[in-house]
Amino acid sequence: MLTALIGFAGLLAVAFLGFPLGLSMLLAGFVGVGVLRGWTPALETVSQQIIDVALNTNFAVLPMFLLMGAFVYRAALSDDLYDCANAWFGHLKGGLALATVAACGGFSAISGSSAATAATMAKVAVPSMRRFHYADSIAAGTVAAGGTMGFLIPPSAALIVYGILTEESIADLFIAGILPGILTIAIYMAVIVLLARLRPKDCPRGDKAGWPERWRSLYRVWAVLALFLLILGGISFGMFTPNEAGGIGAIGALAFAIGRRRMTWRILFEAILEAARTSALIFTIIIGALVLNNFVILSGLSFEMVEWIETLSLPPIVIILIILGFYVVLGTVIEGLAMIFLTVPIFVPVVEGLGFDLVWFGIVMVMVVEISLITPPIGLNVFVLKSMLPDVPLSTIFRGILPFFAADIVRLLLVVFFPAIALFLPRILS
Amino acid sequence: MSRFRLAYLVFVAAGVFAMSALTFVDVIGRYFFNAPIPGSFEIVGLILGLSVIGAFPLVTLSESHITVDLFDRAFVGRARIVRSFVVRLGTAAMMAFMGERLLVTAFDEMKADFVTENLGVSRGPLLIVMSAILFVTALGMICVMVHRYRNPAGKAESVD
Repeated sequence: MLTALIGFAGLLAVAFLGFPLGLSMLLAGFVGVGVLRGWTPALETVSQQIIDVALNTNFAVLPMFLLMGAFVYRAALSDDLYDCANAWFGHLKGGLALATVAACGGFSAISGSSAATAATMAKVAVPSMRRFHYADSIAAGTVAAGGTMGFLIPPSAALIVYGILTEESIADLFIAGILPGILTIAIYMAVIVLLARLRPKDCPRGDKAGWPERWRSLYRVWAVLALFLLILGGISFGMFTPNEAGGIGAIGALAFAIGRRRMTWRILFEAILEAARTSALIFTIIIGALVLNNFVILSGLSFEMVEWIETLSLPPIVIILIILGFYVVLGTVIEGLAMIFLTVPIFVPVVEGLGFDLVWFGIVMVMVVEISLITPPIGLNVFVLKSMLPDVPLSTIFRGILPFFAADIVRLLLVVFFPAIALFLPRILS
Repeated sequence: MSRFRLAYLVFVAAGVFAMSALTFVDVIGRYFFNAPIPGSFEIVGLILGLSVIGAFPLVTLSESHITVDLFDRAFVGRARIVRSFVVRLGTAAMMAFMGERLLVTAFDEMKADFVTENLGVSRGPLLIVMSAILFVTALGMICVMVHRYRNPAGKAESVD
């Protein structure tokens, strides 16, 4: 255990120095395995992990879904999604904020990027809410919180990464994310309804759209919604593997962008390169995390942690709550994906040792990471929003986020205490 | 943008797009024509290696890897310069290390006449290309390090 702790201290020192996280983990894992088992096995471990990750067809799911997101992002779908949600919800009290949450859910599901969703929706939704005299705190808080949903609603890069690191089925993780994703949208909408009751002047009604306008707005986005349903339905009912769904999603999204006359050779090239770059930086960390994982297993750290936890005689659910509390605190200083990579090798064996389902824990972990995106002082989405709305003070944005933060804690506890919310669909569909 | 750089970017982009296109055609072929592409699953894996490792120079030389920047502000003045120097040198060393590992594996596989399960092809040449990309990335990182040391305010793109 001492070796493992020294290894982690070394890892943190190198990472905090500013060394790329993936390479820090690779270095710490390599040195750790070398010290525990000798340098030849350590060298072989590094070779094996690079090959296992870089040439593993199952991991192609990541670049393919990233490519789908890049195409959809460039198809300028956000305006149409928002107009559609606005046509259906805008006339209600707090309707523009409700429309923003619905559009954020739709956009983040397809684009898979929280930051892209927050940035895009800030441009699309906030001017409209300001025109109707929504309070800046509510407008900014809605977009910042709504943007976080990209982490959970499948197909999500975070779930793919978790699946790769833990060898859990990516299809099961996607299916398990559906109900918690719907729950998130429902709870965020409930927050807005409540705010509209408490502060009606800050969340007025928008214009009421007629039925022809509503159907027209739906017509403009039906193709991408159909693509989303095809991918999710295909995976859920066993028609496609996640890899195949990724291929269909990417080419389908390209066809969608071409159909909307948004695709040029230059945009196509940029979108593919963006997916390639993001894949490379995530793969670097996956390779590092898996080498580190070997070191953690060899060191017996997880086994000793489970033994130590058992001596505390605490109920397992209390241990889970302590781990989640740790995540919330860690999320205030470390970026979301980095947090997953750093902690999965330590906590997942502990959670498994306590007898919990790892698909459920994956969903719970991703939900906590979502929360970290809006938690001060480094909530990524907050800063994305601040850069898009420089005239809105950070304190106003954080004030607007507070009700959503409280809602996040509630939905997290719901999924923790009622695991069926995550596990019901994977169980009946498998 | 130099022609070489453009050609390289096209090579990486073609790889990433090819994975999706091949998977798409395979699924359509299987469901609608009962004719999947033989070995497509394996081909996608091989392209994945080439395109992901191929994108390493793009993220490494532009210094856009995920980092924990919690203590960035603690490094000022000379300490910042020294830190950047160490991080870039270390990054170059790790890229070279990964490249060396792939090269050793390539020679091991070729020596053992290892071939893939379905297509029956050797991965050796592919691993050598991937290894070469990592060595070039390491070299490029050293160029970035020297360039940034001489022009602290310059942009990485100018090094490309």
